[in-house]
Amino acid sequence: MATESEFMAWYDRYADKLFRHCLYRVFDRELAQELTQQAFLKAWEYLSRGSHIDHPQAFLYKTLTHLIIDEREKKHTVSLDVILEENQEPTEDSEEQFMLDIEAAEVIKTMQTLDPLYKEVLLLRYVDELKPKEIAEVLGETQNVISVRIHRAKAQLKERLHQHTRL
Amino acid sequence: MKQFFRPLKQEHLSPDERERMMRNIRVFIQEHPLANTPANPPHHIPWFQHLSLTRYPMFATIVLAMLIALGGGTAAAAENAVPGDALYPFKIHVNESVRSAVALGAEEEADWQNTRAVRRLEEAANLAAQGRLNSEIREELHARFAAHEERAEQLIADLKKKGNAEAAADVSATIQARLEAYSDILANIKQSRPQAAEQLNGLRNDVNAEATSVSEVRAASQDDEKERTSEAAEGKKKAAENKLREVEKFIDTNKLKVEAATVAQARAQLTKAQETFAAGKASLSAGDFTDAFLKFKQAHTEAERAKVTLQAMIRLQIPLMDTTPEAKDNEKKNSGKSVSSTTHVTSSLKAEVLGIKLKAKTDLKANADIE
Repeated sequence: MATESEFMAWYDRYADKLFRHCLYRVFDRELAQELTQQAFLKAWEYLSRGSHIDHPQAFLYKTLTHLIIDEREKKHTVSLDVILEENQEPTEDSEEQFMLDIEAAEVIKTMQTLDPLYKEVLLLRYVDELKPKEIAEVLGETQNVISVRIHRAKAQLKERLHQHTRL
Repeated sequence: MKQFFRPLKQEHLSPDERERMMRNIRVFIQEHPLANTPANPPHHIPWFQHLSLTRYPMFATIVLAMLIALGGGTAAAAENAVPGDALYPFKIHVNESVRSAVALGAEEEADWQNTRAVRRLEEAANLAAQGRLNSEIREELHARFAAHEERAEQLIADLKKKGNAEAAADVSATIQARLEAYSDILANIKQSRPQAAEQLNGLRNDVNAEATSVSEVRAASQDDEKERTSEAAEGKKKAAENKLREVEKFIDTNKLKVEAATVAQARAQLTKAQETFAAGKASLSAGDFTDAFLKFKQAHTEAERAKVTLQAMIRLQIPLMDTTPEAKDNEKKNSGKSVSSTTHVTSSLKAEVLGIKLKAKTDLKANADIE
């Protein structure tokens, strides 16, 4: 069974990844922090009841996904444009940071046009940098299914980007 | 492809955000030790950190002096304190303030404020059972109870304003279940402590009024009338399942701390929750997601009520009388016989209730040695 120090090592290793993953699902920084924290607390609660967690990363992602779904049920959908606008506060960042922010906003907008299942695997693969085997564990699918899904997700993304540049 | 996603990787938790989250997690770990392990030494939170969170700076100075005098374990010892005990101020101004400070969000804070309110109820019930609830203490506890409940209602209203009607409804349901459970508990205590009937009636009126207020707020939100998706019903099912499991484990873990009748009552309440859950599953299979959602929610509330009742009985150490209609009928039929589960608060239990476990010697320890 994991000890407290092992559990805090999980926190050190996965907190940023989980937060980022959550942020690109809920688009609310404070909420993303809250849900990420809850995911860790639920994991600890699970351990405190005498259960084992063999694959902490997968467990935490799954828990977080459930929390995100629950949260979606509570809130109304807000326009993505409003969210992106609200989160782009004027700062004294460098030119490079400014361009990164613009690029990030464009990526997010494009991602939002994808099928939700494709968006999810692309985030897990290319932002959270999980391997297909790990993604399969998180989503409860076979590795084969995930590999095919990633392939199709990339194809759809390229198609969307192509449409975007044509406009 | 990796280059495309590069801009998204710039997001990180800031050092402050990481630190705050880690602190919250450590507090939670301290409150929920691992099962079946030797007692984990609590993560040491420096005392000055607690004191910086209190709203009473003058009191903080006094507390620091107390801590130095009393040594370690004070926070744990204070948990059993009632008005009049030396450590009671520590309990409400330090222990409870720390927990408020690390509340995770409005929902958790509302739940915690209600928990603080029922802690005042328990203290009053404890004192009433011992014949120590004078009007001054009663007024003080009533005022604190009302203040915590008002704060909880404010937080629930804030949740609704921010569009979190679901969270507001969930925490309202938990609070209502808790208050209704305490109303029953006070009725039970009154039966075993008729001499404290008047005081306990007063407490029960406070609780019933608050429970009614919360139920009116829930009804007004019309949360129960919303259409639900299968995803929402599945989510609620999971939450109910976890709660049922949690309460079952709680009963098993604590069954030796109370009388058999109390355990039986808790198990009966849990069984009722499990039956409601099964009905929810039937609705889910039939595709009636809204009905399934409501039944799972009800099962969650019923299970919570079973746990709250048992928890309170453990803390109060006063036997529970069965107040179900069937038991009342049986009581009428057996009116010549004494009801077995009532009167056994012995002097040793009184000692427990008075906080005999306090490590620090206080005047009350002398009073507790009745025999």
